Amino acid sequence: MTISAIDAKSLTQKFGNHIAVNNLTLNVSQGEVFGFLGHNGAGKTSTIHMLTTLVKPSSGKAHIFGESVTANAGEVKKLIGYVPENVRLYDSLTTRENLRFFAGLSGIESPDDHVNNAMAIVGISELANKRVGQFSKGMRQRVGLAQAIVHQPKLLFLDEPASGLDPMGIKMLRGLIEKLNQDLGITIFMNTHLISEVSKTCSSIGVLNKGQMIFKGEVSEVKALLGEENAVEDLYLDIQKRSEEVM
Amino acid sequence: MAALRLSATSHIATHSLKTLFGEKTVWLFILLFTVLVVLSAYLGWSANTTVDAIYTDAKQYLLKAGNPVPPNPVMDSSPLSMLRNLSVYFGLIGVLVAIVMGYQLIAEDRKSGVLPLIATRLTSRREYACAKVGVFSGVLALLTLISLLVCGLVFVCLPSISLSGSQLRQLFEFHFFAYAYMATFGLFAMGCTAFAKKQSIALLTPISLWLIITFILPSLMANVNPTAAINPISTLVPVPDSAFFTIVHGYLAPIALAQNFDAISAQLLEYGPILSPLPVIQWGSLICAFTLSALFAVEAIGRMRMEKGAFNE
Amino acid sequence: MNSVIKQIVAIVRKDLVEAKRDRFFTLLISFLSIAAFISLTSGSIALATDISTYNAAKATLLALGKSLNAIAAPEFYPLKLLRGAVEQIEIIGAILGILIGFRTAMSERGHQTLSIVLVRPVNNITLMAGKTIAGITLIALSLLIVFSVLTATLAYFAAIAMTADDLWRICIVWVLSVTYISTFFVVAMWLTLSFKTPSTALLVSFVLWLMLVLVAPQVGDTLDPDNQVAGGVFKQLHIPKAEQERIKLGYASYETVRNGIETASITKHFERASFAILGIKDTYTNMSIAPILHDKSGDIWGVILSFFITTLIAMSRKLTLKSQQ
Repeated sequence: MTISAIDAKSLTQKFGNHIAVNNLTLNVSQGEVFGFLGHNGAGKTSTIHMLTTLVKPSSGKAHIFGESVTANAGEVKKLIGYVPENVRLYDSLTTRENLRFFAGLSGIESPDDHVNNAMAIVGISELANKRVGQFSKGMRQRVGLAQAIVHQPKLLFLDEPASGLDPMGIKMLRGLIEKLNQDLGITIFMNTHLISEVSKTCSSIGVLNKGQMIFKGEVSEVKALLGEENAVEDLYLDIQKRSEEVM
Repeated sequence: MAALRLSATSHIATHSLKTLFGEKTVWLFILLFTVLVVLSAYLGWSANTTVDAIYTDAKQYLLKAGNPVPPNPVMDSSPLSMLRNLSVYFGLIGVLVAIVMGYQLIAEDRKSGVLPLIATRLTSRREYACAKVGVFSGVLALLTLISLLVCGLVFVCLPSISLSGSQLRQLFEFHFFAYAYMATFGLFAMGCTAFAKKQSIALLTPISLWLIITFILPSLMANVNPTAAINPISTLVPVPDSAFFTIVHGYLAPIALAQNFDAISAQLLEYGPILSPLPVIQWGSLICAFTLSALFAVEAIGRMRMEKGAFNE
Repeated sequence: MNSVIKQIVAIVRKDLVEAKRDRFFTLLISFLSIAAFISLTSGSIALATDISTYNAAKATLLALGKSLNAIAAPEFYPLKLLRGAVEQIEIIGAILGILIGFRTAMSERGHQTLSIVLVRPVNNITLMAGKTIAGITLIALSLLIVFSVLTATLAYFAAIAMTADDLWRICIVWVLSVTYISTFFVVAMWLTLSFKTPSTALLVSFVLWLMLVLVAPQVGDTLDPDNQVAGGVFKQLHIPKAEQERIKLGYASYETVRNGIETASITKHFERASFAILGIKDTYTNMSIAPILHDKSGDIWGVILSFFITTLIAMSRKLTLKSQQ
C-alpha cells in the first residue's frame, strides 16, 4: 500500500476565538495535483501553514509521506517545497545566489548542480546572474518555484501561484505545474481562486468553506457528471451557494 | 470655504493627535523626558551640595596648613545654575522626543497607505502641512511647559532658594530657546519622513544630523570630546588658540547649534560666562535653523507623493 | 554537525553579500570612520598647539634667564590622542551596532522571506547563530577599517614609528570594541524580531542606547564633584593628592552610588578598560599591558559578560511566521 502524500485527520486551527480551520480531514495521493478552493478567508493558507509545519495545529494530526508534521517536522521539511502567495526573495542577491542560499539551508552539499537544474526546469537560466530586485512579478514567481524545487522535494505547496500574473504568466505556470508533476513526479497541493486553471491542471479538488471541507472529489468525475463545459466552476459556485444557505 | 478648510485642518490635527498619543513609544519618550528633567534638577542640587561639603572639609585643611583659602566655588553660584543639566537633557532626550514625534506624525499615514484617500479629500496640501506642523508644535510646547512646571516645583520645594524677577525671565527665555532647538530637529525629521523612500532612512537622517551637531562638530571646532560635549561645564572650554580651530570655528559657528545652545543655556542659567546681550551668532543661529526646518517640513509635505505614499520597506 | 555548520556558513555568506551591496552599510562605516578621524585630528592639532605654546613660553623664559620649572611641558604619548576617537566609537559605534542588528532582522521581516526559510530543515538556533555570526563579522570588519584609519593617522601625526606594543594595545581595544558593539547589535536584532512593528523596536533600541551610553555615564560624570567646577574642584582649591584621597573617603557611600550608576552601563566598562589599555588615563600611562589587564579585568569581564548574556537571550528567540508580520 502506497503512503499518501498528505494524510490529515481532524486538523483544526484556532486564533483566539476565531476558528480558521475546523476539523479538516484530507487525503492526497502521491502524484496528484490537488486544487484547494475556497472563498477569501476560508482557511486555505492556514491549512497550508499547518501542513508545511510553519504553524502547529490546535488539534488533529497530519502526515506528509508518513512523517508527522508535529513530531517529525524536520523530516517533513526535507520532503516539501513551498511557494507562498506573492513570494518574496532577497532583492540584492542574484537568482543563483538566492537559490544557492536556499539549497544550502535545505542541506544540499554541493548546490551548484541542483541550482542549475532547478533554473533549467523553470526556464530562468538566463536570469542566473541578475538581481532579483529587478524582476517582474512573473519572473519572481519562477524564481520562487525554483527555490521550492531546488532540493528535489516530493511534495510542492503552492499558495495562490497565479495571483497577479497576466494570461501569459498563467499559461507558463500551468506548463510548469504539468512538467513538475508529470516529468518529475512531484505531488502538488495548490490553493487557488482560478477555477479555469483548476479544471485544466488538477486531478482532484477540495472545497473549503469557513474552515470546513465541504467537497472533495476527482475532477474527471465532476466533468463526467456535469458535462465538460465549466463543470468545475458550476460545481464550485453551486456548492458555495448551498453552503451559504445551510449556514 | 474658509470654514471648510479650517474643518479639514482641525480634523486632520485631531486625528493626528489621537494617533500620536496612541503610540506607546511616544508615551515612553515623554515619560523618560519628564523623569530626566526631574533628575537634572536633583543632579544640580546634589552636585552643589557635595562641592559645598568638600569645600568645608578642604577649608579646614587649608587653614590648618596656613594656606590661603580660595572662595567657595558654589557659594556665589546662581540658584538657576542648579538646573544646568537641563541643557544636556534637552539636547539628548528632548531632541530625540522631537525627532520621534516629527517622524511619527507623517510615518503613520505613509505606513498605513492612506495618503491617496486623504489627498482626494483635501483642497490643498497646505491644510495637511498646517495640521501636522500645528500638532507637532503644540505637543512640543506642552513638553516644554512640563519642564517649566517641574523647575517651578523645584524652587517651591526649596524655599531657601528663590528667583528674582530677571532670573525668572531668564528661565522662560531658556525654555524658549530649548523649544526652538528641539523643534529644529523635530521639524527636520518631519520633512525627512515626507521625502524619504525608505522608513529607516526617514528616521536615521535626522538622528545622523543630531549626532553630527552634538558630537562631531564640537570635536572639530574646539577639540571637545564626545563625553565632555554632554557635560554642561566641560563643554564650555574655550577654543584652543590655533589657526586651524580659529578658522574652522569661524566658518562653522552658524551651524554649531549644540554649542550655541549650550552657550545660551550657560548664560541664561548663569553657570557659565555671562555676555550681555546674548551674542547674535548664538541666538540667531538657533532661530534661523528653526525657521529653515519649519520651511523644509512644509515644503517636503507639499511635495510628498500622495498618490503612492507608502514606504518602500 | 557538518550540515549545521554548512547551514550557518550559508546564512553568514548570504548576510555578508547583502551587506556588501547595501549602500546604507557603507555610509554607516564611513560616518563612524570620519567621526573618529575628526576626533583624532582635532586632538592632534590641539596638542601641537600646546607644544608650540610651550616652546614659545620656554624660549621667552630662557631669554629672560629664568627657570623652566614654572611651566609644565605638555606630555606626548601618542596613544592618548585616541581618547576622542574611542569616545566616538563608544557613542556612535553603539548606534552602528544597533543599525546592523536592525537591518539583520529586517532582512527577513522586510523581505517576508521567513516563510520559505522556516520550511527548510534548519533549526532556530542555527538560524540565529548564523545571523549573529554574520553581524559580528560585519562589526569586526567595520571596526578594522576604522582602527586602520586611526592607526595610520596616528602614525602620521605622531611622526614616530608605532611600536609593536602600541599596535598590540590597539588590537586589544579593537577586540573589546567588537565585543562592546556586538552587544548592541544582538539587543537590536532581538528587539526587531520581537516587536510587532520594526520601527518601534528601533526606537526602543535608541532609548536603551540613550540610557546606557549617554545618560548613565553622564549622571555618574555629573555626580562627580570634580566635574562640577571648571578645572576641577580640588585643583581650584589647590588641594594636594594625599589630602584629596582623605577628603574623598568621607564621601565613600556617595561615591559608591555614583560609581554604581556609572558601572550599570556597559559603556563605562568599555571606556575604563580602553582608556587604561591605551594609557589615556594618567594612572596607566607607561604601564605594561599585563598589569593593566589584571587591574581592569572587572571592566573587561563586564563587557564580555554583557555580550554573552544578551546573546544567550537573543538565541532563545524563536523565529516563527509571526516574526514576519
